Amino acid sequence: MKILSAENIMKRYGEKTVLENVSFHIEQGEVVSIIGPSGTGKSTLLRGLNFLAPPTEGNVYFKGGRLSKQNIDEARRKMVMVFQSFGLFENMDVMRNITIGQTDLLKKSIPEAEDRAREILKTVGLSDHAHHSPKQLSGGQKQRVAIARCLAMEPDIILFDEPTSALDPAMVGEVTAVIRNLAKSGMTMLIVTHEMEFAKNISNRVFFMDERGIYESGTPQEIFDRPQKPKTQAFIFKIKTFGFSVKSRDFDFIAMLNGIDDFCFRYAVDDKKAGQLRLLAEELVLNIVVPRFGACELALSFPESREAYHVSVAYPGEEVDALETGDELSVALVRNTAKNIERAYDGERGVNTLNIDV
Amino acid sequence: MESGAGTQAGGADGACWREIMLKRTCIILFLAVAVTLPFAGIFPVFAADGQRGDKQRDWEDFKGKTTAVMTGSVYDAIAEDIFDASEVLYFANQTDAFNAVKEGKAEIALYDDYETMLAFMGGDYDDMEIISIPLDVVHYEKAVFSTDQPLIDKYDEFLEGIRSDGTLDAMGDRWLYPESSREMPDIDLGGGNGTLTVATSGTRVPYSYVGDDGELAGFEIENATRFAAYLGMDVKFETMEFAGLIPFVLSGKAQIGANWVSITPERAESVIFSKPYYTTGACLVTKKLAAQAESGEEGSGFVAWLKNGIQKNLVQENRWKLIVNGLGVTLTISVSALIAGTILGCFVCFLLVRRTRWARIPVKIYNAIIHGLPMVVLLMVFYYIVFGKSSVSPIFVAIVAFALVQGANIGVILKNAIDTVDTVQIEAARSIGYTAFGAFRRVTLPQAIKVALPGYLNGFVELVKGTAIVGYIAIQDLSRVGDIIRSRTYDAYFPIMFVALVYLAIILIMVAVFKLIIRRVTAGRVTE
Repeated sequence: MKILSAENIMKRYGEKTVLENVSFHIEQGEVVSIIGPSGTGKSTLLRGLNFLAPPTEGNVYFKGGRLSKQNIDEARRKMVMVFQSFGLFENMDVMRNITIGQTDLLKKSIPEAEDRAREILKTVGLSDHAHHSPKQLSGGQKQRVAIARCLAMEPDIILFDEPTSALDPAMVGEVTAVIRNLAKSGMTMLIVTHEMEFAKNISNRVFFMDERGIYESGTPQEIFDRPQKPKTQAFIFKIKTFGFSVKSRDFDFIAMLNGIDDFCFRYAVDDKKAGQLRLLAEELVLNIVVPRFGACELALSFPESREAYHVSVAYPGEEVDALETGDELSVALVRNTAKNIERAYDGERGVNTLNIDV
Repeated sequence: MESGAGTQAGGADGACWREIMLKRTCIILFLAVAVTLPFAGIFPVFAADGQRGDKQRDWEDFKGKTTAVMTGSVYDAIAEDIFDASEVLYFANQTDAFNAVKEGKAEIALYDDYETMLAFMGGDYDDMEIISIPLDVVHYEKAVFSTDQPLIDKYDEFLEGIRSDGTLDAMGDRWLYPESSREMPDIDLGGGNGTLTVATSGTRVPYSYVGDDGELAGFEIENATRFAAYLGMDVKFETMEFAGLIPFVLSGKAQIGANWVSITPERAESVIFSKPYYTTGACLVTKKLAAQAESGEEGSGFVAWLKNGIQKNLVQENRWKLIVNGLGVTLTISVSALIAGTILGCFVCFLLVRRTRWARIPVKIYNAIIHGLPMVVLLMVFYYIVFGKSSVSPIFVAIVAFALVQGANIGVILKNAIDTVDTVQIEAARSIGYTAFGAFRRVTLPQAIKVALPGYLNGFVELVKGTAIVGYIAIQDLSRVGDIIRSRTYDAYFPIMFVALVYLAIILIMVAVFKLIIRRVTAGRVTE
C-alpha cells in the first residue's frame, strides 16, 4: 500500500531552484534513507513533504489524499517529524512533552495519555526520566524523547531530518538503536542521514540526491556497493576514502592525523589496524615525501571485503622512488608494515604514485 | 531529579531578586535622604539669618539681586526692567518662588497685591518680610480673558452690573483682606444654556485655590460662577499650571480664563481681555534682617514637625480627600494605560514578528516617534494638537498618550522575548499537528512571558512614576495635588514628602503583586 507519494515536486527559493520534478512512492513498512552531499535539498525535500516548507509546485499524497495548506495540520498528526536539534518544548517536562499532543490534538484524557507516554518511554529506555526537564537531558536522551513525542501521536510515517547530526559520536548509537527497533516493528520511515553504515543496514531503499532531485535510487547494496551513475560513485568512493592534500612543508599535520583517526572511527577500523595506518601515513608523508618534494596527496581507502587497506601517496616531479632516497629508519618501518608496495609514474602530469596495501 | 529545574527557576528568580533588592536599596537611601531633608533644609535657614540691623528697607535696595518669579507671570518683566535683576529664577507656582527665597536660592521673590500678601503670609513665612512697591512704579489691571469677542462683551456688561449694584465690592470684602470670611456664597446655576468652561490655576490664594473638602474657592471662582449664572449656564473649572492658562484657552478647551491675570500688551495680542475689575500694585518678599529666634518654639524636633505637618496639610479642610482623589486619578491613568498599552503592545509585537517589511515599517516609525519625544511634549501634543478641538476629558488624553508609550515598549519587550524561544520548538509543535496559533499558545507564549515579565514590571513602575507630569494638562493627579496643598499651606516639605511616600507605597505594592504573578506563571511549569 502506498502511504506517501510525491509527484513532480519543485522547490524554488527566489531565483534558486533546489528541487525539480521529484517523484517517488513510499510503501507501508518501508524504511527509506536519503543520502547525498550537503546542499542537495535532502532536508528541503523532507520539509516539503509535511509542508514546513511547502513545495513551490507539485503534489504530495498521504494515504491517498492530496495534501494542502487546509488539511496539513490534520495530516501532520500521522506524518510526524524528528529534527536534528530535537525541539523539545522547554517549558514542559519529559512527560508533558509526550502527553500534550495526545491531550490537545488526539483529545485523550490525561491519565490515558500518561499511560501511553509511560509505555513509549519504556521502549526508548527513559522510564526513569519522565519528570526531568529537557535541560537536564543529554543530546541522545533529548532525541529519544523527541522520538517518543512523535510515537505518542501513533503516526503512520516518521520523517527523520538528520536525527544524529547534532549528537556527540558517543551518543549516536543510542538513537540509531531506537530507530532500528522501530524499523523492526514495521514503522514506515524516511530518514535523511549522514551515517552511511546506519543507512546501509536499516534501509529497504536508498535515495541518493544530487542535481536537484533523486539522482539514483535502489537497494542499499545497489547504492553502496554497485553505484551506477558517476556522481553516486564519486560520493560513495569519497565516503570510503580519506583524502588529504599537503601544499607546503609547514602543513597542518595534526589535522591530517585527526582526519585519519576520524575515518578509522567512522568505519570501525580496529585499533591495531588504525595504529598501522596512522604510522604509515606519518612516516610516508612527514618523514619521506614532504621533506624532499614539498607537496603530496594522501588517500586512505578500503575495499568492501576489508581484506586490506589501501594507502596511496602521490608526489610531483621526475620519476623517482621516494623510498630509495628517504630516511632509512622510516623506509624500513614502511617496508615492514606494508603487505605490498607498487610504484607508478604518470609522465604527462609529472606525478609519482606509491600504492601500498596494508 | 528536581534539583536542575529548581536551579533553573532559581536562576530566573535570582535575577529578579537582584533587581528588586537594588530597588529596595535605592528606596532605603531615598528614605534616609527624605527624613534628613527637613532638618537639613530648615536649620540652614536659621543659620543663614545672621544679618544684623533693624533699618526699614525700601524696595529700591533690592535692585540687582537674584530674583524668583513664577513662570508665565508678569514679574519677570519687572525683574528685568525695574529691578535690573542679576539673575531671574523661574518657578512653576508662587509657593516655590517664595520657598526659593526662604532657602536662600534667591534674595527676593516678586508678587502683586501687597495687602493679600500681608493677609496670607503666616506660619512658615514668619521669617519673611514683605515690602511694597509703589503703584506709580508698577501697577496691574486684573481681568478675565477669552478668544471670543461676544463673550467678552457679555462679561463687560455683567461687570458693569456687579460694579453698580455693589456685588463686586462685596466680593472683594469676602476674599481679599485679612479679616475676610472667604466662604463661597451659594449661586444659582443652570439656566439651560449649556456649560461655561473656565481655565484657572487652583493654586492662587485667595483668587483661585482648593479649599474645604477639595472644592475650588476664591475671588475668581466666585467671579466666573456669577458670570455663568448671568449667562444662564452651568460652570466647569479646569485647573492647570499658571503658564498653561492662555494656551488652554487658545486651544478652545475653555471659553474663558479667570485667574487674577494682569493685562499686558503681549497677552492682549493673543487673547481678548475684559475690562479690568481691579488694579493692584506689586510687592517683593525677602528674608527679615533680624534672626527670628522665636520661630523655633513652634516646632521643636521631628515629631512636632510631623504632627504639625499632618494637621496642616492633611487634616485641615479635609485635604486628605484631595490626596485620595489624586491617588485615584494616578492609578486610573496608570492601570488603564497599562491595559490599553498591553493590548497595543501585543499588536505591535504581532506586526514586528511578520516577515513582510510593509508590516514592520509603520511600527518602526511609531516606535521612533514615541521614543524620540519627551513624555511631557508628547502629552502636550496630544492634548493641544491631536485632541485640540475636541472636548474629551484630559484623563482620557493622558491614558491614550501613556498607552501609546507603553504599547511601543511592551511591543518591543514581547518581540525580544519571543525571539528567545528557538524556532525548532515551534516547528516541532507544528510537525505533530499544532496550528500556528496552537504552537504559539502552548510553546512560544509560556516561554516568552517568563522572559518578558521583569521588563514588563519595570515598564509599569516607570509608567506610574511617569504619570506625575499629567498636571500639565489640567489633571489633578497625586503630584499635582501635592502642589495644590503646598500652594495653600505654604509648606515646602511636608506635601512633597507625603506624596513621595504614597508613590513609594503604591509602587512597592505593585511590585509585590507582580512578583506574585511571576511566581505563579513561572513556578510549577517545568517540573510539575
